[in-house]
Amino acid sequence: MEARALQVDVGKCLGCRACSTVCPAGLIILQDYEGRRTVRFAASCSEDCTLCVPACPEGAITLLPGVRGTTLEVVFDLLPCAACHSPFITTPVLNKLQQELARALGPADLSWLPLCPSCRQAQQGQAMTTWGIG
Amino acid sequence: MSAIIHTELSRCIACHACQVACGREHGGAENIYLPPSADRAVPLVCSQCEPTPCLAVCPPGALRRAGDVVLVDSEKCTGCGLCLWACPFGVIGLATTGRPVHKCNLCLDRLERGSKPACVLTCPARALSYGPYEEAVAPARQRAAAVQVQAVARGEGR
Repeated sequence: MEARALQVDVGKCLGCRACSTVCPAGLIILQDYEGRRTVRFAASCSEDCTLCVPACPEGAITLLPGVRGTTLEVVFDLLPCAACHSPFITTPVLNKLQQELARALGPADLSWLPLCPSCRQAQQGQAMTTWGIG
Repeated sequence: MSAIIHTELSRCIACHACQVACGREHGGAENIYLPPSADRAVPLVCSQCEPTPCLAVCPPGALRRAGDVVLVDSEKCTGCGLCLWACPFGVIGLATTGRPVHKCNLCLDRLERGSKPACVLTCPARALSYGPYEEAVAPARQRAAAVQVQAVARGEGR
């Protein structure tokens, strides 16, 4: 397959896991380390697939034939959980969730959103214990 | 009224049998959780919420509602994780391969065979039950009411 440049619109990248998860050739690598997420994109792709393109929730990826690409690293700070402080979510993902949830749920209590999934579980467990019902 | 998995908190002994049964039922993916709470553990499963935050944020539309239950389409799921972060209760999990995400599906296969969810059948303390919401909650409310009445009778009031 002719090599195509892997082009990423950095402004649109959420730092989610979609492209790195679907790429069958390991050309997109996501790494979380010390509170930061790095998504590393190879310069070009010679595989016979375009899975990353529709996988991206924001349409940030384009494959360009006949163009020479460059490797790219997109770095995000992982925001800490409001309860346990472990880094868990990127700002663009959090913003997107706030937007989509407001649209889908209308006025709703989203105070649980800055908590990581484990702390959300713990909070719900506490609430159920307080209410005395399951 | 929709059917749910109901948890009787006073009976849960935190043995984790429900998690083992669930994992065995779903190829290793466990969809029931036991967050600690004060002096006990609370069995926690997907509430099959309506409106549905996870379904609302899923970019490829891999989550769909089928009656009482919200299901994951493993073909469509890209493993982006947005649903996981949109779940108010933190009860959506990610497979070790990154996709698909996994969540409680009320053991639909078992329900279709006239059986019950694996966790409900396995719990040795009978802390889990499955049935219509009103049927599940009514006995718990009666017990809670009885406790209140007894406290008032002893002069402890509320």
